[in-house]
Amino acid sequence: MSRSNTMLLRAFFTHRDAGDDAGADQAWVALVVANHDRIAEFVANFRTAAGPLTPDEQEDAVQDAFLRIWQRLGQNLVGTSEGQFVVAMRTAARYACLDLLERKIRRRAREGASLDEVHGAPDGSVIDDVDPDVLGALLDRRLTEEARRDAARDVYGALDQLTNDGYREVLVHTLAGTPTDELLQTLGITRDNLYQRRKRGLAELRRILTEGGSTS
Amino acid sequence: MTRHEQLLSDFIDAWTAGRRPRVADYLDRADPAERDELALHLDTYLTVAPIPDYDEATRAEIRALPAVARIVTATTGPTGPLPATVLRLREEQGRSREEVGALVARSAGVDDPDGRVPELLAELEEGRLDPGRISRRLLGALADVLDATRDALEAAADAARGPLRPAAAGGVMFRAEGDTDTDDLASGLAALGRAAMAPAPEPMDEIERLFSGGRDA
Repeated sequence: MSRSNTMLLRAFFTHRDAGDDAGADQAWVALVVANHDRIAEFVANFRTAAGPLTPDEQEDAVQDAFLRIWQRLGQNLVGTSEGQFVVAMRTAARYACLDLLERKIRRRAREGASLDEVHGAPDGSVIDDVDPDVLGALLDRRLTEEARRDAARDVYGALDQLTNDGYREVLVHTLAGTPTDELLQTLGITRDNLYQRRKRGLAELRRILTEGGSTS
Repeated sequence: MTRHEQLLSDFIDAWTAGRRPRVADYLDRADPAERDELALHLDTYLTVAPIPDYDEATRAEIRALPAVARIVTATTGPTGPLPATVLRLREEQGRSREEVGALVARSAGVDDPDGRVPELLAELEEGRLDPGRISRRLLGALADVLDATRDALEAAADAARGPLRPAAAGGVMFRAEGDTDTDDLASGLAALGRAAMAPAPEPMDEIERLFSGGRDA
């Protein structure tokens, strides 16, 4: 089984606090490598009404997201749990995408391009002919609220709120990285049943997370 | 089992095993009617997914990605993330250094008849300036021109001075013990004397203060 983010974070803070910059850098690079694809996928799947970000924009947003995480490491990620850290990564990726989108809208407005061109709003609606300053203020407020909510959220804690024991059992193993064939043997259920529990468990987990049900 | 359930589990197995699956590939293979729901399930999974079990070759492959190399340089290099951030924002706008330099000079209210601001901007982007000496006024002008916030740029500039490091210990007073090398002491005092007698450097001009005069310049 591969290392967890908690282990990598602990290594980072241990080296940093000992004044071992090289060791801290090494742990940070390991964190970046371990989580690059996760962040890249969050960014790739960020959708605006105009579609996904361009490949160049996606690369910029991934870079920006990691810089945000790195800056937060020294502030409020000390002693964070695995679940809080993955939420922080997700939030950083989202902020990076939203900021990029906002800059794009401001730039187009400044260049005098027609805002009839369709832009996607964070809530999936269409921004059409919106004052960029108003949009900026709305985004700021939304992101502040989001950050406050995320700060206390530990996604793994949400597993405890799943109402179906069968879903929870499958998800706990899935999130621990247990391969499907091994899981089938461990639980003694059919493949159909396992796949169905995974899908339904993730759907319920998403509902708990989006409705703010959490967890400390 | 449905096609959706099969694709979801295939993605999970590929992710866990470190085979670097792409969400887009799996969505392409889904039935159009199920695509949105599969995207939500994959998004939820990625939020809670474990770190994949990458082998050494895969880790090296990811480490060698240009984007990762830039992240590592920006975060572990001596100048911190500011140079990469400014470069990224400028490129995002599709503007040359000359264009951005001229706009920054105007926004900061300095005359630049010789085009020195673009040259210094190049030094900043290439990590040849100390971000700790960059003025708040320049950061504000850059934020204005590059559609960023001054707070974000200031945080990036401050990071070069080590917000990740523990607070430095208080000053250490050295005291000679046992035999003291008086020649070393004499040469040290002579060097201090020469430094004290050397003429003061020319005062910085407006543009130099902007780029190297310290935060409050």
